[in-house]
Amino acid sequence: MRKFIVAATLFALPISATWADNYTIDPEHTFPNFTISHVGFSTLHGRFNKSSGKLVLDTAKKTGSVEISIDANSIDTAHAKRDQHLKSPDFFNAGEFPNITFKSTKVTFTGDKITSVDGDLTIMKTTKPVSLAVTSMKCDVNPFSKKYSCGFDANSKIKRSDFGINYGLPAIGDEVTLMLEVEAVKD
Amino acid sequence: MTNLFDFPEVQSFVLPLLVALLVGAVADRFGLANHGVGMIAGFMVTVLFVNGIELQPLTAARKIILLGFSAAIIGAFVDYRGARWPGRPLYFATLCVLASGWVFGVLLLRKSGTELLTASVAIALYTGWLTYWLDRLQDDEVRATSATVSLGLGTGIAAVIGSSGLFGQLAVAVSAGAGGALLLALLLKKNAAGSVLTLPAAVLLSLIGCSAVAFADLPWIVLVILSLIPLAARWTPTPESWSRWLRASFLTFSTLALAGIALAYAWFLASRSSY
Repeated sequence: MRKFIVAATLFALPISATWADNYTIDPEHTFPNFTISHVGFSTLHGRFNKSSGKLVLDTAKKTGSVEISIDANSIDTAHAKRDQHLKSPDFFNAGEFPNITFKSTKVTFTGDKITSVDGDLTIMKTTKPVSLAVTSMKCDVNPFSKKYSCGFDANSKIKRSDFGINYGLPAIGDEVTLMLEVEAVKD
Repeated sequence: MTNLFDFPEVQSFVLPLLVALLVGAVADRFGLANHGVGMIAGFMVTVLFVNGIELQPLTAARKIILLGFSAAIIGAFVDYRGARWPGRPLYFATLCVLASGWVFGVLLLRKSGTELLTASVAIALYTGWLTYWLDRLQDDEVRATSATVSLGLGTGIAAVIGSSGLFGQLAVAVSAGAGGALLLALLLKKNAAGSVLTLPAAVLLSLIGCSAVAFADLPWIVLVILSLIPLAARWTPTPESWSRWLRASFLTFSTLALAGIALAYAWFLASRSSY
């Protein structure tokens, strides 16, 4: 019996060491944000209030993946009429394309932390590669929920015209700064 | 320096009007078709500016553009063959209702119960109604084009108020193109709009109106008011003694008054929150 336990333990150790951890994105602490030039006068800030997704992290192997789905109808710029316009076919066409998705293709680690996430961003069925720079990351037990969580902040710049969102160009800026504040709870 | 062609007014009003006049006059000279061919040519110029020639992803707006163009081809063919048969307006109305299923199917499939039923019935009624009544106007080019001018302008401005510049520009382009056809009807003293005008106008404006409700923020009640425009164009009395210009002006202003009521109501609802 003892031999069996030892053998089983020895066999199981390398497997558990390579297991990746799965996380589910916490929608209450995950907010995709954006900023865009408003006719050159000021910078408009907005965010999407609903998102979901998964993280997979294997810190031992320095690999992982990120999948986020954003509800285009949840756009919020603190102005109901403007939000309605942003949901219309002039911009995100949320009635026809309710989801914006990001799927990572490469996660780069420096030490134990992710420093960049490359992936495919799909808006209105148009997919373009995007590289997110991760500016901070932490994995630990959340002192409030007592659950093991991982979170990171990331950002990138995209051109909305690349995704067929051409309304108001060039008066309304083409370049959009994307910011992702993500928290995910270990499954 | 801002390019003149960047202005929405130029893209959706000036250019389609000029192109409609030019193409309609050339078509008339060669006896190719009714003046409506100019309207659809003007509309397509606006499409080039606001959408380009891209069809992917195949959005509702792009489906509407395709259907409008297809309707013009069918209309031109029907005119060329001189095809007239009892129940034709009803036949075209049924075709337009079926086409609306292609445009709104994806959106409707996400709804259920009463919401699905209400939206489906509303779309079918509006598209069928406009197609039926605009087809009934086609023998009188002044009435048909006056109705299209007002319906297009009403639908376009209402769409803009309802938060969609794209649909607004497309509808105003139909209005401007019909305006060109109306001017030609007055200048050349011809009197047949033909299906090449009424069918695409009905398809485009009914589907754009429904889209402004479904994909933007236009209240249904605005479309109910706009749906009275073809009836006003058909039954507004114009004495025989009136000149064509007076008749056209009277019919256009009568129908524009209805569009004005619809827009005033849309504006009233939208003004509760400024942009």
